Amino acid sequence: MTDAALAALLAGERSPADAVAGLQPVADALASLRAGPSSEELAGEASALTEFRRVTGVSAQTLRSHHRRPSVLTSLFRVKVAAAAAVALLGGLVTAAYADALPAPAQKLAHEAIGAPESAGSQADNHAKAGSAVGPDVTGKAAFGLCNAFNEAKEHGTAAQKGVAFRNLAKAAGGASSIASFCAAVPHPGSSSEPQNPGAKPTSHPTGKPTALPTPHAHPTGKPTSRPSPHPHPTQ
Amino acid sequence: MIGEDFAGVLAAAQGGSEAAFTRLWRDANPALLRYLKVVATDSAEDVAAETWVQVVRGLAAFRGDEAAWRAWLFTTARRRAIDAIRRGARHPQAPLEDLPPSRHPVAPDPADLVLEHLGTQSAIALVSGLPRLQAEVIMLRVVAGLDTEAVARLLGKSPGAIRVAAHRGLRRLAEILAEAGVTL
Repeated sequence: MTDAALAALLAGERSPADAVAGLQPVADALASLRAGPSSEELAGEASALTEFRRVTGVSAQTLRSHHRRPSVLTSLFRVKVAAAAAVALLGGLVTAAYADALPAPAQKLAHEAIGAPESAGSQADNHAKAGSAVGPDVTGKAAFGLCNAFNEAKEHGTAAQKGVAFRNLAKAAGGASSIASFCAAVPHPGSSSEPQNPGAKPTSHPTGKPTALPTPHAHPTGKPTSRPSPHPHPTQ
Repeated sequence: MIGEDFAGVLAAAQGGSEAAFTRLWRDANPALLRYLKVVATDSAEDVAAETWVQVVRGLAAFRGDEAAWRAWLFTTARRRAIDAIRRGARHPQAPLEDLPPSRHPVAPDPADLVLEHLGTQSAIALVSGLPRLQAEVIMLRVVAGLDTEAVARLLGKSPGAIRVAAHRGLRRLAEILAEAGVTL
């Protein structure tokens, strides 16, 4: 009775040597253990299936419930993602505005709202007579805006660096390597040291009462010194 | 054993197919009951039902092939059997192997084996008369279809100890059957 013969029995393998070795009765006993199912052994199917239906029904219901009502964590995550997307979008718009990359109407709005440079088209119109290059003026608000855009691009690495505004900024600063020092010297548009543009509109409106009264339109007063002459009547 | 269709049947059952689950149950429950009749004796049906409740609840999360499936099934059944025996014997800390002899299933008289055809139930009773570890190893290897390594993991023994127990159990069965003069 070798170990190999016993291992073969456990694996369900029979050989003619089993009878010689006295293992045939054991092989038959093991075959009986592996025999097909009796009806009694399949009697519990209905209760098992009932449990299966109950659990799978609960699972499906749970899935539907989760679909309708996302968890607090999921909601929080979605809010954060939406906020991040909004910030990224806003940052992109600001960067594009300072880089003069927006369509002309939007660029004009950005120019008026946040001090972004005027659109290249407007600048081209303004400088048409002088034949200057397309791009914003690099002094005053435009310089401040371009520096802001430069800082924004430095942090986020957008393609706006290729814009005309950056080239002009680098040109105005005397080279790309001097942009940082140039921008450090550009005053904030709201500061008192901002250079005034003689041609610009006043940024503030006068307040208080005027010191002199306006000259009224002259109206004739008193009676006329002479009466109009009557219509002449023809003499007969 | 289901064989090469197992992966598809399992996936369908995990997706809620009653027909697929029924196929899994019909394939495994007879072997489960036979194993439990050796380790849990007269509470085999109740333990089998508890086992399926737990298996159904964990079915969607199960990952593995048919060998892993059967190993999981019989591991679950053995744990439920130990719980049932502890409840019945009121010995919460007693491992399965250390149960009092009075809880062991009664082996058939070899003389009775001569008189009747060696059917499945007689073969189960015959194996139940072996020492506990030998009986459990033979049932897990022969009925559950697990290999030596899987049985070793399930019982917390070394593969060598499992081989020794299996071979000793088979030799003991051969001696019992030879004494009874059982032949077919």
